[in-house]
Amino acid sequence: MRFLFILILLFFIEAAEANFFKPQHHTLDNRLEIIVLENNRVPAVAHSIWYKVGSADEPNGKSGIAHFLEHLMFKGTDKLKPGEFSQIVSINGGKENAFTSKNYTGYFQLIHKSKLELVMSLEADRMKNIKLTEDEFKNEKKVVLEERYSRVDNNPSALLSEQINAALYMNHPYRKPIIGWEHEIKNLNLDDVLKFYKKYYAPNNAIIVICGDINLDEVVKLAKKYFGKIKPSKIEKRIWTNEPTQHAPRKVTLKSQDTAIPIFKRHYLVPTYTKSKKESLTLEVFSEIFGNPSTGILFEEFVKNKKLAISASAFYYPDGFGDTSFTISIIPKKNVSLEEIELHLNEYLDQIRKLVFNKEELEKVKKRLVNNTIFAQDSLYMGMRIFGSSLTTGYSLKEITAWPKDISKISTNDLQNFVPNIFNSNKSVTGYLLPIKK
Amino acid sequence: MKKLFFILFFLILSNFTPLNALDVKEVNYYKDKKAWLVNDGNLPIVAIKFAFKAGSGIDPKGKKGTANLSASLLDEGAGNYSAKEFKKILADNSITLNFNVSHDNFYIDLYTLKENLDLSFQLLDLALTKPLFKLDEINRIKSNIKLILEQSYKDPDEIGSRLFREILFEGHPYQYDILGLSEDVDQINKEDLENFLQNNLRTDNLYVAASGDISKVELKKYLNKYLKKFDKKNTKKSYIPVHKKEIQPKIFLHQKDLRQSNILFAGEGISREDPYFYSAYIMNYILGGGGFISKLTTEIREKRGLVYSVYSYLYRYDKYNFFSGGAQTSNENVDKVIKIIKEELIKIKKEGVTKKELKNAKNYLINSYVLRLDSNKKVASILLNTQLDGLNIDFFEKRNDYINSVSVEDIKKVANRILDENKIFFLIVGNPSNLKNINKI
Repeated sequence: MRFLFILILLFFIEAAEANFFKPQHHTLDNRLEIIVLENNRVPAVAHSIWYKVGSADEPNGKSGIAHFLEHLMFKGTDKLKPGEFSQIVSINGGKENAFTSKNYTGYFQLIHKSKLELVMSLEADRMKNIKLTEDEFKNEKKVVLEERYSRVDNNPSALLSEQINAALYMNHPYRKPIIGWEHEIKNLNLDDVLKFYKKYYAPNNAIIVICGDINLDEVVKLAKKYFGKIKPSKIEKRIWTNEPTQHAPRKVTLKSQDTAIPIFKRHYLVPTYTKSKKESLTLEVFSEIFGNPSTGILFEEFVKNKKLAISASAFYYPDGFGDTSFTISIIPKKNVSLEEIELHLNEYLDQIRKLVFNKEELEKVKKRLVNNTIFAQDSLYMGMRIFGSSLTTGYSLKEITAWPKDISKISTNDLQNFVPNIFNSNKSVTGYLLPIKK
Repeated sequence: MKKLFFILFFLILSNFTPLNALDVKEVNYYKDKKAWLVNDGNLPIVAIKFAFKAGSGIDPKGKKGTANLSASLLDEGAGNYSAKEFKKILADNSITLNFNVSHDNFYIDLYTLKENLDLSFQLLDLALTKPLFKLDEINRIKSNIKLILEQSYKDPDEIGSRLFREILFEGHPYQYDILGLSEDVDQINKEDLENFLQNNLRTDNLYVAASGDISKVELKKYLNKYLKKFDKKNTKKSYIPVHKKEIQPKIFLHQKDLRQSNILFAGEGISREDPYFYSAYIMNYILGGGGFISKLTTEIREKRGLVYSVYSYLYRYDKYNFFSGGAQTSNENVDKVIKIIKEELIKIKKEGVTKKELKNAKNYLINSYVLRLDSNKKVASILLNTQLDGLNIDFFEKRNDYINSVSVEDIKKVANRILDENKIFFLIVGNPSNLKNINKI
C-alpha cells in the first residue's frame, strides 16, 4: 500500500512540474533582474517593473509615501508632461496601472508586443527622471486623500481591518496602512517623497517581469538599450523591527451606522514563507482544508452543523518578511451574537489543535492547490502578478517554480506539527464589526 | 534627441499589423442551434459559458427573487449528492461551476481542466435536471439573501445602487434588486423553483460560447447529449415589458453622515442596433470611459484633485439602454463636481471632439482589443456577450471598420442626442454642503 502511494506521488510531482510556468531569467550588469514567462496565445505582453520597496520601508511618521510616490510616477519626467505617460500608452492600445503593497511597488502595461520597446523606454525614463512641481504635488495629495476616504473611511470593514492590523503588529512596520494614516498623508511634503524615490528607485532594486509573446533574448536586448545605462544605487539591506513576544490577546470593536451585517474576525500572527518555509507551505495547505469558503471544515462546522453563521472562511497570506496573519472571518446568522460565535470558535479551535488529518483527503487538497497553477497560466496578467509579488516578498525564482513540488511533499505529520502553533491566543486580535441599530 | 525619439513612436502608430487573433467557429449542435467556439490548445483548460434569456426581470409579482434563488440553489445538492458532496467533487476535481442571474439572463459558467470535462457535464446535468432543493438549504440561502438585501439600506454604495435603480426604472421589473424583495423571498417555495427551471431553461432562449482545448466535434457531442432535453415547445415563454420613461433633470439626495459623498448620474442611452452606436461608444470613451485620460478624469481629478475616481459608461439591458456615470468626493466639493460634469457634457455637445482626440480613441479601441483575448475565460465571455448583443459571427472581422467609420460630426450628433442635461438626473448619497434645489429621498 505504501509503495503504491509513493508511485502515485512521484507521477503527480512530474505532472505538476510539466504544467508549471517556465520562467527565463537574466540579470543586467547594473543588477536589474529580468524574468520572462513566454505565452504565445495572443501577440501581446504584460510588461511590469517591481521595486522592492513598499509601505513597510517608510520612515516613521511618514506613512503613505510609497503609495503617494506611485501616483506621482504618472506626473511627468524631464521629457514627459504630467499625464503624458498614460496618454502614450493609451494611444498605442495599452492598458496600464500600478499598485503598492507593504513590500513592493509595481507598475504594469498590457500592450501589443510590437509596443514593448515603447513601454520599456517609458518605464526606464521614469525610474530616475520624474519631475514634479509643488502644484502637482498638492493636487495629487487631494486625490490620495479622496482615495483614502473611498477605500477606507467610507467602508466599515476596511476601517476594521485597519484597526486590527495596527493591533496585530505591535512593533513591525506592517502595522501601518499601505495608503497611510490620514494625518500623516496631510503632512507629507514633496521633499519627503523625492528622497524616498531617489533612495529606492534604482535598477539594482527592481525586477522586470514580462509575461507574453516574447522571448528572453529580445527582452534582454531592449532592457540593455533602455535600462543598461542607469547606474545602480547603494541600496541598504532592509532591516525591520521585529515583533516582541506578545503576551496578551487583543480585541477591537468597531460600531458603524453604515452596515447591516455584523462581522467576526480573528487574526493570528504566524510566520511568513521567508521566516519558516516548511511551516508556511503547511499553512497554505491547512488554510485550504480549514478555511475554503465552500468546502472548508470551518464552514462545515459553523454554517452546516451548528447553523450559527451564513459564512465562515479562513485565509493565510504567506508573502512578506517576519510574521504575517492567519485570518478567520465569520458572518453570523441573524439573531446569533458575535459573542456566541467567539465562544464556539474558541471551543472548536481546541478540537482543531488535536485534529488527526486524513491522508487521502490531504492528497486531494494538495492536488487542488497544484491545479490552480495551471489555471493561473490562463491570462497574461496573472503570471506577471504571481512572479512579481513573490520575487519581491522573499521567494527566490527556484522556490517559486518548486512550489507545486514542495506543496506535494507536505504530509499529515507536517500538519500535526505546525497547525497547533497557529492558534496561540496571546498572538491574536479579535475584531467585531457591529451595526448600530437606529 | 530624446524628445524626437518619442515623436518617432507616434509616427509609426498607424503601422500596426491588423490583428486577427480570434478564429471563431460555429458549432451546430441541435436543430438550428449554434454555439460559438474558439479552439485553443495552449493549456489543457476549457471554459464554457451558457446564457438562458431568463433573468430576474421575469420574476412574478409577489415572488421577486425566484430566478436568483433558483440559480443559488443549483449547486446545493443534486441527484444522489448532498450539497456537501456536490461541492466537494467540484473542488477536488478543480471544476468551477457557477450559476447566477442578471436582470435579463440566467448564466452558467463552467471552467475546468480538459480531463474533467466529462465529469463537469455530468455534474452540470444533475444540477439542472435533478437539483435537490432541500428545505434546510433553501432556508439557509434565503436568510443569506435577506441579510444582503438589508445591507442595501445601510451600506453607502448599496444604498446608491438601490436608489439609482428605483429612480431609473420606476414602475418596471428592472427596479428590483436581482436578489428580489425581502418579503417576497420568504414566499418562494420549492415548486416555484422547479417551475422556474422547467419553464425558462429552454433551447429556444439559450446561447452557448466555448474557448479552450476542445474541438468542434467534442463540443457538439457534449451539447447535443446534454441540451436536447431542454427543447420545450409547449410551455409559455415569459417576456419583460419595454421600459419607457422620461427622466426628470432632478438632483436627488439621500442624506447620510459620511466622510465622502457618492454621486451617480444617468440619462437615456443608445441601442446596439442604432446606426450611431459606435459614435456613442467612442464619445463615451473620450468623455469618461477612458480611465486616466478621459475628459472627466482630466478636468476633475488631474487638474483639480477633487476625486480619486470619476467615470461614465453606456449600459444596455434588453429593454432599456442608458448612459451613466459617477464620482466620489468630499462633502464640501459635491456642488463643484456636479457643475464640472455638467459643463463637460455641454462642451462635448457644443464643441464636439477634435480630430486628434477621435484618432487617439480609435487607436486605443482597435489596438487594445487583443488584450481581451488572452484567456479562455475572457474569450468565452466575449463570444457569449457578442451573441447576446444580437451580432453575427462576422463581428470580429468588422469591428475595426465600425470604429474607423465614425467621424467627428457623428460624435457631435450623438452627443446632442444622448447628453441632454434636461434628461439627466443626479443622485447623491452623503452629506453635501452648498447644494441647491434638491429632492430628498
